[in-house]
Amino acid sequence: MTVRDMFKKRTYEYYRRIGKYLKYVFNDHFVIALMILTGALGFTYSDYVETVAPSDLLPRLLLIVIIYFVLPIGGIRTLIEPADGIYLLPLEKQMAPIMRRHLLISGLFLSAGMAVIATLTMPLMEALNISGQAYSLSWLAVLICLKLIDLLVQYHSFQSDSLTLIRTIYTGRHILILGTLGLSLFVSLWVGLLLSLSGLFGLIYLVFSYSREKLWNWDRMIDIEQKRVQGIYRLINLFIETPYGQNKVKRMKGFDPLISIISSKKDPHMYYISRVFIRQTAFSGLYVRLLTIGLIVIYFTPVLWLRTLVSVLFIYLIGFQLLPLKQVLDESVHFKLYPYTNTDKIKAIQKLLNMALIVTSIIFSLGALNGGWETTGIVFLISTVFVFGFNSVYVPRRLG
Amino acid sequence: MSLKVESLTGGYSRIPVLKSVSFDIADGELIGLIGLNGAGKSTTIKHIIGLMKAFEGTVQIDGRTINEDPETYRRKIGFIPESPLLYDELTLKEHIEMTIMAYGLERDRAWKTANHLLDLFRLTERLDWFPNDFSKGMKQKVMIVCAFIIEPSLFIIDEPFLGLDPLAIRDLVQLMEEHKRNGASILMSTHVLANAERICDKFVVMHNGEIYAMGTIADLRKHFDMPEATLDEMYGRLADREGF
Repeated sequence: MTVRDMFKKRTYEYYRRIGKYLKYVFNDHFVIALMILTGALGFTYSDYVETVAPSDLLPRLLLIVIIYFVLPIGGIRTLIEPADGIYLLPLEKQMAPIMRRHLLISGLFLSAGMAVIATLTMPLMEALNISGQAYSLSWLAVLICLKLIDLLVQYHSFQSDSLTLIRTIYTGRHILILGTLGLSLFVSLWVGLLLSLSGLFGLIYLVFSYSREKLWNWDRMIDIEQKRVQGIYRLINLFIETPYGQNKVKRMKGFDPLISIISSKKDPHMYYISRVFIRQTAFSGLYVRLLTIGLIVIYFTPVLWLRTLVSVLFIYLIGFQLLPLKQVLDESVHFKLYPYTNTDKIKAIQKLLNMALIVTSIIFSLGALNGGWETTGIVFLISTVFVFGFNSVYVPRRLG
Repeated sequence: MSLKVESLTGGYSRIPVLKSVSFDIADGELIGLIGLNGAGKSTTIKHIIGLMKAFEGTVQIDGRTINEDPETYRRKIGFIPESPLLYDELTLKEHIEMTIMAYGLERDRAWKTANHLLDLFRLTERLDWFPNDFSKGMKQKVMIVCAFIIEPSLFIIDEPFLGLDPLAIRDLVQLMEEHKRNGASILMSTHVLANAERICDKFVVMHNGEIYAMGTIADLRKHFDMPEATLDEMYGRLADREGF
């Protein structure tokens, strides 16, 4: 088997795995939530575009900030694994065509992503009188150039062992991106395009002609790929448990007072799972993320019944995702050894869920405050009734 | 009689790993459980602490089986496993709190013992750390502290010396002897035969899930017909002869 075949196999495996998980991510609940979210955001966005005048400063700045933060999402998919830093070392030379291929594929894929961004921002660009026609190809070209610059800078860092040079080029990248966006939006799209194109060609020369004979920086490639893959799994882990999810435990000392409020000094189960809930990022991260997404959707949803529905839906999602806490208790050998026969694990989980979900219900109803006190009251009431129903009917049945 | 194992037969599936194992430990006695990898030492221990169910035979602590009164039975055991079992999410301090809570210990008294032991093992400064980030030896020390604050009547210690520094080994041996004098029984499984010979009162030599020989070092010497021999030598002879 050649390295080429090996990477082909890895590519296949990678897409198969991601595909398998995405199937679960886009389950019915999520698709409904996503549709509501898209609708709400689209509605707000089109409302906003109506109010924009061609000479406005704020929308331009907003565009720069958004593009600047969206642009670096997604790097080169190298599929390098940690062990490669030992086993593939003798194959330095054979890596070049493989890596170039990875760069090309990632470039194409992420350019498609930039096309989506270009399409989404086009109405705003039009309202600002920056792009003449309905669909401006030069704005699309600017965004794609910037994305390719972003990827080439990363590719360059794979072959460079000088940290100062890498840093200098990264700083140059920031300046180039901000400069291009600034020129495009404040001066002329053509000037921006010119700047980004010259930047792109300069980088192509630097990467492929100037520093051709460089060795691969394996540590850096491994590190960056690990971070990239973990980022993807973190996203997927919002919805389902994957074995690739990093079950990271963080000390989070700042939360100790909170823990001492919710945990019990008498019940070992409660003592343990309250700490698991806070310190295992799989649980606390999930809670915070779903809470945030729910809050945003509720804030932007204009209709009362939809708000209530979203609130209940997200409470269900959060509660459902916290049920594996029971598994944590079941799998612990300690709880099999303790002389503790009052093994009501379910009760401890119900207690924790009650607290976590009522807090959610309060936050969601506060998110609905822009609809008036009455809306807040109704969202809170129905959500809280749902929490108690979920906890006293569904949880014991599901875990028992 | 602290621990009494009677014709214990058991294993993971239908096929028994242990075949009619019987031995007992009196109060204040330290027994060494000796045998090659796969001889059945850990399986025996799992049956005693109640993680596995016997196919046949009984295990009694102070005259009672686990089924008669699981709570009292478990309270009598302090278990130090071979590979440290720790909570990923709890700090060292919280491990001790958890032990106090689960075993219903008297807080002040337990913390007094704990502080003494933490001091002995130079862990006092690390109370706020996750033990999972510790080295193997330090994790082992955490398990030792948690087992000793329970003040059980039976200690079960699986391979205690691996990973511990020489000072800690000395301190652990001292602790074991101290508790022995106070009437606790100890079952210790180990491959470090020199240590075992020095501190154990009796030995149970296991092979293929059966007890091959049992008794004091003098009994074993007589059994093997090797006067003056060390445990190491007898064990080597036995292994050669049996083609272990």
